[in-house]
Amino acid sequence: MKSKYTSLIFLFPSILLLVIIGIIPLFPVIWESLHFHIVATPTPPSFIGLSNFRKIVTDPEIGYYFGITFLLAVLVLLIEVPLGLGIALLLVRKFRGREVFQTLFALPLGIAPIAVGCIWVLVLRPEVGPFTRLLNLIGIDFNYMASFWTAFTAILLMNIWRWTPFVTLTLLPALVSLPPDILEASKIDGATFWKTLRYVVLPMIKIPIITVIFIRLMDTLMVFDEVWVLTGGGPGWSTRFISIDIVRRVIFETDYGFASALSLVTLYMTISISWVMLAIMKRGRLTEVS
Amino acid sequence: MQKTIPINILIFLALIAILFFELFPIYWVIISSLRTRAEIVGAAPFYPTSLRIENFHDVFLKWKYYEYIINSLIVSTGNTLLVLSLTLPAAYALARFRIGSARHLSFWFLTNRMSPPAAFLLPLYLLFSFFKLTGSYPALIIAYTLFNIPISIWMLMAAIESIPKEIEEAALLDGLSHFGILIRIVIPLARSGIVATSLLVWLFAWNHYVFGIILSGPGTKLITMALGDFALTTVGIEWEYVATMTVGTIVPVFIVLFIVRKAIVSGFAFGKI
Amino acid sequence: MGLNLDRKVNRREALSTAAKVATGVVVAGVAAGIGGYLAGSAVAPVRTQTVTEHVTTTVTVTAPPTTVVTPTPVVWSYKEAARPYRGTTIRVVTENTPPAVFLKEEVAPKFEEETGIQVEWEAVSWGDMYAKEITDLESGSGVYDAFYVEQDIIYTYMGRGWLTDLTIFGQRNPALVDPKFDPDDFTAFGDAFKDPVTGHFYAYPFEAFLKTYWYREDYYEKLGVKPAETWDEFIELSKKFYEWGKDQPGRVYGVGFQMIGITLPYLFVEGFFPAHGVYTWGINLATMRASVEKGGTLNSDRAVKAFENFFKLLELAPPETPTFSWGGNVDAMAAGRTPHGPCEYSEAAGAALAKDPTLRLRCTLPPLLPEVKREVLARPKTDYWKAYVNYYDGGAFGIPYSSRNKEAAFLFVQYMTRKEGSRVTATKAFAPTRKSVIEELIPSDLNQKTGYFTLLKENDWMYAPAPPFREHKLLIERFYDKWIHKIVAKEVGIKEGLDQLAKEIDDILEALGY
Repeated sequence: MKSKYTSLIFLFPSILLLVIIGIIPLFPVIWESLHFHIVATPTPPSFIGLSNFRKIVTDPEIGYYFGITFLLAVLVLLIEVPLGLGIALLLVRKFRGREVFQTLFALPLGIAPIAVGCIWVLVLRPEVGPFTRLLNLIGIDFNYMASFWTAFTAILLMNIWRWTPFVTLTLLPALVSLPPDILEASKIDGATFWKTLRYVVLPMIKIPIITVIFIRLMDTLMVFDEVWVLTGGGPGWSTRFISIDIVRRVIFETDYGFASALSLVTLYMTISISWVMLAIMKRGRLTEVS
Repeated sequence: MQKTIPINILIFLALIAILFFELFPIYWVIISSLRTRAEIVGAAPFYPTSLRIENFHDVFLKWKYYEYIINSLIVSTGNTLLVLSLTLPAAYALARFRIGSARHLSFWFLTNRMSPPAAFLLPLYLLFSFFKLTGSYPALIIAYTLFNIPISIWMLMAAIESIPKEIEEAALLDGLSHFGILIRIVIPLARSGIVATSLLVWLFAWNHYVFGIILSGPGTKLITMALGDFALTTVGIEWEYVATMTVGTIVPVFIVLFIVRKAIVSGFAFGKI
Repeated sequence: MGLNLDRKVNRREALSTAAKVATGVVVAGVAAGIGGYLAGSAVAPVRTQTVTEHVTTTVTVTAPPTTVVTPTPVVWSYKEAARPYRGTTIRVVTENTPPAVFLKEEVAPKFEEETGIQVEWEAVSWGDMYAKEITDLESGSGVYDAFYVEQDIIYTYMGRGWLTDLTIFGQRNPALVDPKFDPDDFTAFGDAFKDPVTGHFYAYPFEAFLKTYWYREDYYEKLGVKPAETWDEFIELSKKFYEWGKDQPGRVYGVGFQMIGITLPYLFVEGFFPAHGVYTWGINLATMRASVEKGGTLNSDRAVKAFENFFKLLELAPPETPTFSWGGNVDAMAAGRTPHGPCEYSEAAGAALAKDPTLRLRCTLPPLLPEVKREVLARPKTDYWKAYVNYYDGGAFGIPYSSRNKEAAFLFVQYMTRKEGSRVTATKAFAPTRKSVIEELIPSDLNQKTGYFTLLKENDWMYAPAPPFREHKLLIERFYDKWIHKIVAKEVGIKEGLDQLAKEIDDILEALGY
C-alpha cells in the first residue's frame, strides 16, 4: 500500500483542478493588487506598490468591516454552540418522535443562504412580516433597518435560526455514542449535572465540538448571501461585512485593484485562522490518545 | 421518580417551542407564496388565507422560470459528477496510502473550503473571462469544485476508512491493481457514504449564489440568481413572487433531504464532516 | 511484500492506472461539459416561427397596349431590412424598470414577428444588469447585442469606447436605417447620449422622466392649499399636513422620500442639492474639484442648508421612511400615507396611476431656493448644468462594440425607440422620449389630471441629466453613499461630513488624473 506513483496519480486530477482555479488566478490578482485600477473609467491602471495593502492595514473603515465580521463570528459561536449543545443534550435519550424531530429540525439546513435571507426579509420587514407586529404586542417597536444594532441583531437571529440545527445534529451522534457506564459512574460519585457535563462529557466530545466551532467560525466569517438580501450592508454601511465589501467593490465600484488586495488579505486571514484552529485540534487529539 | 415527570414535560415543551421557532418562517414563506400582494402587505393573519396557485403558475410556467430550475439541475448534477470522479481516487489515496505531504495537502484542501467565495470572485472572473467561458455551464461546474472537492474528499475519506483494510489487502495479494480495488471493492462497500457525500455536494452546488453573480449568464441563469433578482429589485418588490421563488428554490432540496433523511438521523452525514 | 517486486509491479501498475484514471477523468469532465452544452441548447427555447411570406406578383397585362403596369416601388420596412438577418437571435439585457418591461412584453414580440429576429431579453435587477454589462464589455465576450445604457453610465461607456457610434453606423448601413426614425424628434434628453464634440448618438433613449414634486391633489383640496414654490413654503405645508394627518384614519404624515441604501445619496445629488443651488453634485465641471476652496460647492452653505431642510422634513415623515426605495414614497402617497414628495420619479407616479386610475396625483416644479429659480431662468436653455432644478432621468439602448449581430441589433434599437415605441413608454409608464409624442399627449386625460406632459413640454429644459462623470458609479458608491448616510444617521455633523466628503472627492479625482 505504499505506491507513491499510484497515489500521486489518484490525487493528481483534484490537485490540478484546484491549482487551476484556486492558485493560478491569484497571480493576476496579485498584479492587480499592486495597481490602482478602476475598470469603469478611461484612466489606465497605474502601479502603486503596496499602497493598497497599507490602506487596508491603516484605514479605520476597513478595520471596522473586519471588526464587525469577527464580532458576528464571536457572538454566533457564543450563542449557537451552547444552544446547539443544549438541544442535543435534550435529544440524547431516545423518545418517541425523536426521528421526526430531527428531520424537521434539519429542514433549515437545506435552504440556500440566499433563500434564508429572503425568508427573513418576509418575516422581518415591518410592512409584510409578523415579527414587528408580534413585538408591537409586547410594546416593542422594532424596525430592523433602524440602526446598526437592530440590523445586527436581525442578522444574528437569522444565523442562529439557520445553523443551530447543524450544531445539534453534529454533536448528537457524539453524545449518543458516549459510553453510558462513565456517566453512571459519575452519577454514583455524586456529581451534579453541570459537573458531569463540564468534567466528563465535554472533554469526551472535545473533537466534534472543536470541529463544529471551527466550521461555524469560518462560515460566519464568509457570510454574504443572507446579509446581501436582508440589509445589503445597511443601514448606511454599518453591516458591511468583509464579503459584502469585496463584492460591492468588484461589481459596483469596479475597483479591481483595491478589491484584489482585499481578497488577498482575506485569504491570508482565512489561512492563518485555519492553521491556528488545526493546531488546536491537533493538540486536542494528542491528549485524547493518552 | 415523581420529580422527573414535570422535567419531561418541560423538555417536551422546550422542544416544541424550538421546533416552532425553526419551522414558523418556512411556514410563513409558504403561505405568503400563496397570497396576493395586497394580502401580504396588509396586516396578514397567521393562518393561511388563500391558495393562490396562480403565483406559481405565473412564475414557473408563464414566465418560464422552470428553465432556471433546469439550469441549476444541470450545474449541480454536472458538478457532483465531476467532483465524485475526481475525489474518489483522491480520497482513496489519502485514506490508504502513506503520503509524506498528506498533511499539507489536506490543509490546502481545507483552506479552499474555508475561504470566502467573495474573495475568489475576482480571481475566478479573471480566469474565466480570459478563456471566454463566462456565462457557460462548464464555468459554473468547474468553479463550484473549489469548495466541493474538499468537502467530498473528507467525507469520502471517512467512508473509506470505515471499510476493513483486510479485504483490500487480500485483493492486492490476488494481483488486483489499486484502480481495480477502488472500482470493484471500495466503491461498492462505501456505497452509502458515497451517496451521502454526493447528495451533500449536490446540495451545496444547488444552493450557491456568489459565483453566479459573475459566472452565470443569460443561457445559464440559476434559480438562486433569479431569486436574487426578485428580492433585490430596486423598483418595487413583488412580495408574493419573492415568496414563490423562495419556495421554488427550496422545494427540490427538501425532496432530496427527504430521500436522505435516514442518513441525517443516523448521523453519518454530519458526524464525519 | 518485498520492496523490489513492489517497485516493478508499481511502475506497470502505475502506468495502467494512470491511463485508466486519466481516461476516466477526461471522460467525466468531457461528459459533464458536453452534457451541459447539449442540455443547454436543448433547454434554450428553440423557437420555430411560421413565416408568412407576402408574394408580390406583378401582373403584366399584355393585351391592351394602353394599360402599363409598373412594379410597385420598394417601400422600406423592418421586414425587408431584416431579411438577411432572419433567424438570428439577439441578446438584450435591461433593468426591470416599468418602461423596459412594457417594451419587452408588448413591443418585442411585434418586432420578432415583423423581422423574424429572435430577441432573448433579460430584465433584471440593476446590480445584476450592471455586473453583466461590465463583465461583457470588459472581456469583450460579445454576449449582448443591445443593452440598457443608463443616463448616468453613458459617459463611462463612451469614455472606454465601449459603445457603437449609431450615427456613423447608420451612415455606413443605409439599408438598415428607418427613414421614419427622426433623431431630432428626441427631447433635450437625447443630448445626454450624444458625443459632445461630434454630436453623434451612442445610444437611443427609450425612457425619460423628470424627478419632480408630486402631490395628492385631493389632499391639497381638502386643506385648501396650493403647491409650494419655495423650500420654506414646502416645509410649512408639510407641517400642516402632519398636524392634519394626526386625525385622519390610518395616520397621514407630512412628507416622504427615498432613503434606503444607495437611494439616499441619489436623493441628494439628484434632488435636494440642485433644488438648493448645489449643481453637478457639488463638483465644479471646469476644475473637477468639489471643495469650496477649489471651486466646488459640495461643502458650501447651500449644501448645508439642503441637509438642514432635509432634517426638518425627516421629522415629519413616517417612521418606515428609511426603508423607502426609489418609488417608496409614491407607493406611500398612493396608499394615502403621505400627501406629497419633493423629488419623486415620475415613472413611479405613472405606474401608480396605471394600477389605480382613480388616484389623483399632480406634478409641478420642485420647491426651490429663490436664488436657484433666478439662476435657472437666467441661463441659456441648452446649458443645463449651469443651473437646474432637479434630475432628468432615463435610459437608452446602446449596442456594445463587442456584439456580433450589430445589424440586427441596430434594427432592434430603432424599433424600440421610434415613435411607436416611445408612445408605449409614454402612455404606459410616463416616460416619453420624443417631442412629437409629448405633443400628442397634451390633450389627453392623463395630462389633464396630472399636468405631466405640459410640464415636460414647457419646462423640461430646466431639468438636467446626470453630470458627465465617467467615474459616476465609483464616486457615488464609495464616497457620496458613505458620507451622506453618516450625516443622515447623525454620526457626524453636517459641515464636518461635507468637508470630509469634498476632500475625499478631490483626492480621488486627482488620483484619476483630473
